[in-house]
Amino acid sequence: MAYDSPSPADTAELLAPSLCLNPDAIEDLAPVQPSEANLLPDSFPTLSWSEQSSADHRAAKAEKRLCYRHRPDLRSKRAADEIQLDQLQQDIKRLPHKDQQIISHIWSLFGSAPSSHRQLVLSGLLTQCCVPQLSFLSNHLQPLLRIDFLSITPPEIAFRILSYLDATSLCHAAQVCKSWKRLADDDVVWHRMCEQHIGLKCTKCGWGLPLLEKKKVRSKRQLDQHQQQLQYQHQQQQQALQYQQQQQLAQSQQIQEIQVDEASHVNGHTVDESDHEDHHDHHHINHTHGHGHSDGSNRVDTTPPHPSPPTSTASLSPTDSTPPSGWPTRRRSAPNDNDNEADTDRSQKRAQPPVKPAELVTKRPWKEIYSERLIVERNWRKRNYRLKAFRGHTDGVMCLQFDDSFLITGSYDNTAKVWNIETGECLRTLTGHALCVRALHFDEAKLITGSMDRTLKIWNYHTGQCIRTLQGHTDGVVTLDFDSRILASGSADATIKIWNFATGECSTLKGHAHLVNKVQIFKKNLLVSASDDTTVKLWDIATRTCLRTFKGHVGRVQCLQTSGDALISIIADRIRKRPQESTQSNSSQQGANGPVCSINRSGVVENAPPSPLHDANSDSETRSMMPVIVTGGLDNTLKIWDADMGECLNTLFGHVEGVWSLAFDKLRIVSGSLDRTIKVWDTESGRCLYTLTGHDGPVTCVGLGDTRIVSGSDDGVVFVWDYGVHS
Amino acid sequence: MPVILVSSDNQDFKVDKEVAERSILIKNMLEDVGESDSPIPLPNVTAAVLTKVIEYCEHHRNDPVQVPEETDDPRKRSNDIEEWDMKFMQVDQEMLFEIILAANYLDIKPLLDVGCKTVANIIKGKTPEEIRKAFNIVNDFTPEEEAQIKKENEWAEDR
Repeated sequence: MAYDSPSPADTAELLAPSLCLNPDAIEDLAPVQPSEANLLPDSFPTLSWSEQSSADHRAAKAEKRLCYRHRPDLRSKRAADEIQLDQLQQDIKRLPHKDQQIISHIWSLFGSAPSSHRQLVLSGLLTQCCVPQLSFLSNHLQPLLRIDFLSITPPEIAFRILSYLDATSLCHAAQVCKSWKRLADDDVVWHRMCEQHIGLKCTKCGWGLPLLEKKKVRSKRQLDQHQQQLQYQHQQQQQALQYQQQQQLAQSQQIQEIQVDEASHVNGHTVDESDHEDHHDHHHINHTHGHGHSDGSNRVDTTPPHPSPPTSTASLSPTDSTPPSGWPTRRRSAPNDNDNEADTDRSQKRAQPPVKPAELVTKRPWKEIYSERLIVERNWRKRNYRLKAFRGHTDGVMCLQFDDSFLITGSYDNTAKVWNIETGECLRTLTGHALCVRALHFDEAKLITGSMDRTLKIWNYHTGQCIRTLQGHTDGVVTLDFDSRILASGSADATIKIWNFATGECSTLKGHAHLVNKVQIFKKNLLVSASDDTTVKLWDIATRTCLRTFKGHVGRVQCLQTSGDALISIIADRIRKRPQESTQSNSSQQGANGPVCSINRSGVVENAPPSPLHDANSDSETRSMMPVIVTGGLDNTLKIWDADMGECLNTLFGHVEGVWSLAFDKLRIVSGSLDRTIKVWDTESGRCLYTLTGHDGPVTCVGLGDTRIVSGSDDGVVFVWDYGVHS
Repeated sequence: MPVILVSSDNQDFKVDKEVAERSILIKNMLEDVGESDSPIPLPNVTAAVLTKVIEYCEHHRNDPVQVPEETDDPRKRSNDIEEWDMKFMQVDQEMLFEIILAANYLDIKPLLDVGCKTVANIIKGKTPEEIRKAFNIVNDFTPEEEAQIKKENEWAEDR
């Protein structure tokens, strides 16, 4: 214990001068300060404590055993007492001189008494007190017994106390006094707050904050990879230097990784394992990823086991220093000479920029990180967005995807456009398809588009070059998705084709009766598809078999998204029991799956009562973490499905015409409809939060990021709804 | 078999081993010492505080022992305090303070948590001035500093 039990014994020395006052206070009272000499006239019997008592209290002092009220280091904190001292001084001055002396003497004696004696004296006084005097005591004790907990407890306890506070209370605590500010602003406290809220919904307060920091990481990686990409090609031409350069490359990449590491802390490096996964999942959900790392398994992060303030922990993943997997894939899948030449040409013109000297990424306090995200979250809640319109397409926009740098849209005008998402500038128009561009997906290196002209095209969207055209479908390509290994495309011919980047092989999944509106690769080896035949199917890619058919929509299923590897928190009343699951679920499930028994006080064995630490709404509704699939259809509804069990957990009503598009993350679902509106829903509860209007045509496609919604309409206009911090 | 605990002011407390072992410190001590009748001195805990602590341990003697990792998970934390514990914690601040320190010293995690939660609940929902009042703290900021800090923390005001 850092602080010893209070023993007021030694305080006498501190208080000894005349009045039982704090020495500081006495100085304040200087004008009337009575000296011991004139307070104790010769006639007054001089009393003093025995040798033993004095020794006791000197010993106590030597050991520095001081009570809270009399610790010299805390004296400055006691000024509230001083008002009372003033009053005391005033009162005593009104008495006859002799009475003043006697009272002072009593105080003085008491003040110099060792603690055991003091208690004895007090006990004696109490027995003599009348009830009104006792009442007086009782009234005065409470305020005197106030203790500045935070300042005097060991820091670990102070932080523990603070860890139970919400952001607002913490900010109030920081305004109390200097020592409180130090504690309440500490990174330890705010790191915990970030852990609880960022990238997930806090089970305590129901608040979740967006992951923002990855924006910087990602854009930096993009930059790095772009450079790396150029460098990589260059290396191929300079065989002799290759090894050496690669070494350098690896090294520089590592350095940059360390630097951006701080920024990515919140996404997993210091946050625990599950948060780490969140990071990747989030990428996946938002569809804004695309670089090779997002596969999760590609990345081997060494996560420090305990939260720590943001330090530049060198948690390097070995794979990060090798070329991103997306790139070699691309080389294999598109060994187009022209393209290579073009790229090489470019890289040479650029004269091989040396990898940028390290920009210093300054450490940001966790409190600042938290506040920034809170503001973004508040913007989301309060519909506080800036709306930007991107105009350029001459016909309806049918598909879009964006990351933090680029927005790419595909349109009925047969083109795809690459936009700078920040400025709204159209960087490039990709022409080549003979009919409407219905589907697109991009990562850092390539863009693949699918068109009603029955083909798929692979582009280098940085240059505008079409690298390759894939043919095979017998009707228009409506949807596509790809990862580092395979490309999946769904078509109006009711089939799904799986194209293998490495081998060039193509296989076909047959089973849907009508047009396939949406496909998404799920958990690496699975694929989910939505069709005009009103069903959603889950496929095993390797065996090309349909594992499950989700039935429930009564109209064509127009759109879907899976949660990828993420687990989504869902509140529903019909979540089926899941094997292995023990956390976050209600207690009855736990009881059923494995009886947790305890012996209660009377010795009776009973099922463990629901832990008070778990949420209270476990009676009728259950909050559960699970992989989900969200679908939207022309029956005007969205449905949330348990991806493992195949059950429909929630149906979201609200749109008055068909749902054409949707996107979701852990916090919200956005949906675009034929009714020209976009609705924002709470993912967990399925509640509609609000409706965004503005489009003059059906909303055919939507995308969702941490700080923005992007929506495309049949009228050719793309809106960016920006909820970011507007500085 | 009962265990004898000795407070800093030399009072003996006879408690069941099961109760005493709510304190991880004592539990470890007993394990180290093995079977022994010798009293355990607790030089940092006064009789008054030890009485309260034992009262708590008696009441919670049958609680399942919490796994440390579990209780440290911030997401499983909550500010809810059981009714009995709430009543138990209705003491003056000095005693509350002493209980927290004793719980920390004796390593009784649940009691430490309840104590910290109780303090946190006093802080919660109060303005800075109200917090100062509640804990008898002097505002040592200059008016300029105070205005500045208020501004820095404004973001948290409006949810």
